[in-house]
Parts: sequence; structure tokens; C-alpha cells
Amino acid sequence: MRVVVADDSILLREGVVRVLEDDGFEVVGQAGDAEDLLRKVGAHQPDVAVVDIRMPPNLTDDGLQAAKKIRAEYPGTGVLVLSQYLEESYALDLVADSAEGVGYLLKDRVAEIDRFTESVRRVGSGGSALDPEVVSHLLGRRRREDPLEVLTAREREVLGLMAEGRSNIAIAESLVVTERAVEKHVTSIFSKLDLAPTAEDHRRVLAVLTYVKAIGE
Amino acid sequence: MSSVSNLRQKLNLLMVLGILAGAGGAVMIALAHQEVDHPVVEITLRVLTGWTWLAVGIFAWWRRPDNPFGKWMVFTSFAWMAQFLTYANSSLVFTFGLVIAYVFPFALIQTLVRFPTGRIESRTDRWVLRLVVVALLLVLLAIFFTTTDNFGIEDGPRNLLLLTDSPTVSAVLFIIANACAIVLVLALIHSFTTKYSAASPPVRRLIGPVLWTSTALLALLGVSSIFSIAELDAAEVITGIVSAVTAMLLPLAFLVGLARSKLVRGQALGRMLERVAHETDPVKMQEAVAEALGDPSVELAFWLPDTRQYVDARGLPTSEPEPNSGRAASVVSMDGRKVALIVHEGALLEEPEKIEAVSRGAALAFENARLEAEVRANVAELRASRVRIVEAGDAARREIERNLHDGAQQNLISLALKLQMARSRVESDPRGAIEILDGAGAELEQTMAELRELARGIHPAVLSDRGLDAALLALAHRAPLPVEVGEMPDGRLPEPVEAAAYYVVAESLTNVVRYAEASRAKVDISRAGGIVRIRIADDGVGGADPSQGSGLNGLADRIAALDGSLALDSPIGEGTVVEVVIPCG
Repeated sequence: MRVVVADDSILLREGVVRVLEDDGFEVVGQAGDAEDLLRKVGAHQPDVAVVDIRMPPNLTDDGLQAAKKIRAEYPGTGVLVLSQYLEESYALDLVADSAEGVGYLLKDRVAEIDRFTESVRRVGSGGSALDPEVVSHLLGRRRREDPLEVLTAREREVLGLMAEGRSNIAIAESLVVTERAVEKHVTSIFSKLDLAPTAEDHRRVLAVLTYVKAIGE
Repeated sequence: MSSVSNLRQKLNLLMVLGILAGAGGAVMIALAHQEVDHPVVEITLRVLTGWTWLAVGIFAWWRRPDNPFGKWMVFTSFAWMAQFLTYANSSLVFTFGLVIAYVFPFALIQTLVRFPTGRIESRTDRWVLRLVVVALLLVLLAIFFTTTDNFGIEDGPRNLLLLTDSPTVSAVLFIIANACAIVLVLALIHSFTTKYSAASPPVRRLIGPVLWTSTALLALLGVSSIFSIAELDAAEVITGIVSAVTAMLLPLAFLVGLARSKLVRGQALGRMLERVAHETDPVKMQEAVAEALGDPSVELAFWLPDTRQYVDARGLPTSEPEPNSGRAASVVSMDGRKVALIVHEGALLEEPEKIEAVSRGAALAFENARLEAEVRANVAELRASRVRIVEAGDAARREIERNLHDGAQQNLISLALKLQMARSRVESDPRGAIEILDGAGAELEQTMAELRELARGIHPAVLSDRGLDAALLALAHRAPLPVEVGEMPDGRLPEPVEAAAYYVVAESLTNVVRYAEASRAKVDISRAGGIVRIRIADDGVGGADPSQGSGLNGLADRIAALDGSLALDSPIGEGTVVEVVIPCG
């Protein structure tokens, strides 16, 4: 899988590159700012770009803006945005149209090498990766009447993992249950929340997020 | 004082001369060989006209020495009386009188045109005066061709300038001159009407009587010229008498105008004082003054001594009117201090007493309004400074956040990553793992140094622990150029003063490093007489501009909060000195 890595901190960027290369990714380009990133993505058309949210020139959310542009112009390139701090609004902004090929992770996660590389791979193959912390924030919001109360504890766990962008197999591994059991939970969740059932993982993420967002407002 | 007494002497002398001239004229008419129909009427009318002009002219001169109008009136009176010489029996004096008699129309028209400012205001007036000279030269020329018979004198002095008696030439010249006179009259009437309609009501009250009397006089002279061309002698005589009476009344019209405008002013002034005394709103005050002066265009400007500028009734900066804008400004002062400016129509300068009275009456109220404007300006400045302080706090917080996220946090993530990588290599590649761990150690040290630097930027611990002396020495050591820490106060200063001093020095040194191209800098702090003086000097290129958003601007608020002040002296090529003074009891 071909990757472009963009981060203005050289030290960290090289660490990420090394981790990815060790895991078998082919890092085809590195960028230090948003413009450089867009240029390299245009030139290499990689499967995925790993992008720091705060980069020159403005040092605000340049990475996020670049990510949206990449998604619009190069549908074949997924974007995984890394952020020093978590803002739900950034995450929701990113998946607003489609959760296909996008990810939003707390930067600290790169140190959890296996999960990180798995997220990169997922985003690179058109899936999604939302940081568990963002998901738990979204699901854990206090509401006067919580529609999620109808779910069992296990179903909530499955919902959270779905929102992170994981596939049924991954969820099964994570919860140490069979894939079959996960499928059952998913069907139950969708019917309890009155959502149209869908098989594809990334559609599922968006459905869940839209729902969570809707009840949050 | 001496100029006033000089003036008085001069005017006294002129008065005596004028009285003598009039008396001499009376004698001359009485003894004239010429046929004078009604000597008593003639003498009374002519001498009285001369003296009236003289008296009013001298009064106007005394009242406004700097307005040439009075001088012109006096001149006109003498020109009038010079005409008496034509009654002389001596041919020499008669001939001289014949020539000099034509100075009177010149003087009269000059005076009328120059009313009331004493200046020639329009191009029309300038042309009128040129035409007057042409017409008078033509008449003078006619003297060379006219015998005394033609002047109506049969048995008397002779015209010594007579070249040849040519009634035709003489008549033609007189007709041309009279035609000129008609044109002149029309032009002058037009000029007066324009002047009158352009004036504001109070100015109209002043100039109206003179302008209308003049217009009547000119109309009569015009008609007289027509009669002269038409050779209607009887009608010419009648209009001559009427115009002589009008000429005598003209100076009186001036006095009437003056009295009228004074009367109205007195009432308006009383009303204004009543209104202004109870008024604190500058806009309403301006309206009251406008009404009192009868000039709706009046604007007030209040002087703010602190910022050395005028502000208008709304508190916006304003300035004095341009010299040739047709507007003028009169200063209102109190106890010798400038308080305000009344900006008004230029013609109002002709009534200085009026403006003087309004100024004096309103000075106290203006002073109050000025103080209020000052307080308002201070409050606005205070509010702005509060906003700036909050903004500066936010900016500082943003910077700290950025430094933490972009510096320390990145480094820590990178470290975590390295530790993970090392861990996964411990068994398969122990040498590689050690290499990674070594790198991680170096990175950790760098991170700690960054954090220390960041913390010091937020607040230097040494400042609160060991005081200004130690903090500044540390600052000086870290600076990339030699910084001498000179005089330092004994003992500790109040905490806010120490902090302000520290940040002033820190910011100034940052500026020195960035812009000054200096080879060295010196810091002195002294405490004397309840005042702390902080001075940072460098030997750099100078030319620092305080308005160009240097960090010193932000510090100005901190210093102002302590009632201190900041001064920057930075002549090009001579280094920069920042001096801050903070009261410290």
C-alpha cells in the first residue's frame, strides 16, 4: 500500500515513516506543509495520506482543509488525519459527506503501532477510522432522554466499535466473540434504533454517526 | 499701549485738519466770485457732508484700526473737501481744485466697494475700480479742452490747463465718461446685491443700511449721468441736490447698521447665555452659540491639552479652518488657557465685539464641556486598554497552547513511538533497539529543555524567587549580544513593578536583537523620589517606530495600569533608548 506522510515535525514524521515501512507500507512521499502535501498527493496518487491537522502555512487546521480537498479531488486516496487534541467537530466535519476513506485519530495513537497501522490500512482500502475517544464522547453525551438506553451494554460496545470504523471481523476479534454473534448484535442495534440495515462497513459508520449526531442536537 | 496712543494722536490730528478744511471750504464758498445760488444751503450741505464722513470715518478707524475701511472713509472725506478748491478765485488754486476734485469719486467708490471688510473681495469689484480710473482719466483729459465757461463760470478764475477750447472733444469725452459711469453704477449695484444676499442675517443687519443707501446714491448718480448726456440741466440740478443729501446720509447709515446689529445681538446674547449655562451637551451648546451669532454654520471645537488637538461637538478630531476657505476661527480662552474654538463665517470677523461677548459669556460653559469631552476621551481610552489587555492575555494563552502542542507533545509522541519500536526489536534486533533508545534519551533531554524555556517565558521563576537583579542578569546572559546590567535598585520592588520592568527589558532586548543591529546594550533601573526609572539603551541603527506593532505597544498598557509612562527615543543612526517611568511609593 502506497502512503504519503505529512507532518511539520520532522522527528515525528520520520518515526511514523519508519513504523509504516516496518509494517510493509511503501512511503512514496513526505510533506512538511499543506501545499507540499497536495502537490505530492497529486504527483503520487497514493492509496492513503497520513496528515497532521496543524501544519504550515497557517498552523490552524490546514491539514483538515487539505484532507477535504484530497477527498474531493482524488477519490482513490484515503486520508487519515492526526490531531494533537480531539475535537468532535473536526471529526464530524471530515465525515460530513461520506465516511469512506477517511480517518481521524488522536496523534498519540501512532505509538500504538499495531492499531495505528491497521487504521492506516483500513482508510487506505476505503474504510474509516474514528478515534475511540471521539466515539465515546459522541455516544456518552448527556441527554435528557437517551435513545441509546434501549441498547444492552454489549450492543453499546459494538455500536462504539462500529462507529470507529471497524469491520465485523475486527469487532469480533476485539470482543473475543464469533463473527456471527457480532452480526446478530448489529442487526439488533439497527432494528432498535430504527436504522436501515447495511452490509458495508463504511456506510454503517456514517449511519451510526448521523444518528448519534441527530440525537445529540 | 504706545500704538494705541499713536493712533489716538493721529486721529486727533486728522480731526483738526478736517475741521479746518471744512471751515476753509466754507470761507472759500462764501467769498467765491462764482455765482452760487443759495450760499447758505450750499455751504451747510457741503461742509456738513465732509464732516459727517470725517467723523464716522474716524470712529470706524478707531473702532477697527486693522480694517482699512475707516481709513478710506477719512480719505473720502478729505477728497470731498478738496472739491471746495474749485470755488477759489485764484486761477492756480481753481485749476488744482479742478484736477483734484476727481479724486472724490475714486475715493467714494473705493470705500463702497471695500465695505465692510476693507478688502476688495470680488473680481467684479476689481474691474469696477479699473473702469473708475479709466473714466476719471477721460474726464481729466477733457479739462484740457474745456474753458471755464463750460463749467458755468463766466466771470472768475481761468482753467490754466486749457490747450484749446474744443466743445466737441470735451463733449465727446464727457459723454464717454458718463457712459462709463452708468456701466459702473450697474456693476456696483449688482455687486452690492450679491454681497447682501450672500451674507447671514446678522451681517445683513450690519451692512444693509450702508448698501441700500449706497445703491440709492449710485442710482441717483447714474440718473444724473443720463440727464447730463441728455442735457436736461434742471433735472440734473435736482438729482445733484438729492445725491448730495444721500452722500451726507451714507456715513450715518453705517452707524445705523452698527446700532441695529448691536441691539439684536444683545438680546441673542442673553438668550444664549441662559441656554449655554444649563447645557452640557456640546451639540446643543453649538446650536445656542450659532443662534447668538446668527450664523447657523457655527461649529465648536474643544481643545484637549493632553493630546494637543481639537475635537468637535461629537468628540471627533478636527482642526482650524483653512486660510482662504471663507471660514474663520475665534479662540475662546479662560485664565489665559485655550479652551475652545468658534469656527464661523469669515464676515463675522467684522464684529469682533460680538464674538468677544459670546466667547466671554460661554467660556465657563465651554470649559465644562471641554472637561467632559476629556473625561469621555479618557473613558474611551480606558475601555480600549482593557480590551487590549484581555486580547493580549488571550494571545499569550494561544501561544502557550501552540508551544505545548507543537513542541513538547510532538516530542513525547515521537518518544512513545520510539519506545514501542525499541520494544518490538528487543528480541529480534537488540542492537537496533539500543540505537533507538539512545535517540529517545537525547530527544527526552531536548523536550525537557524546551519545557523549561517555555515555563520561563510564561513567568520567570527567578524573578519571583530572587528578584529583578537576578532575573535581569539571567536575561542578559541568555541574550545573543553583550548586555551590561548597570544600576539596580536596592531591595525588592513591588511585584507588579518588578514584573513590568522585567517584561519591558525582555521585550526591548528582543527588539534590539531583531532590529537594532547593535553591538551592545545597557540596562539601568533606578529608584528615587517615589519613581522607578527603567532605561534600556543600545548602540544600534535607531529609527525605531513605536507605532509599528512592536511588543512594546502591548507593554504600554501594563505600564499605564501602574500609572507609568513609556518613552522611545530612536534617532536614526544614534541607537535607541527605551525609558519607562513608574511611580512607586
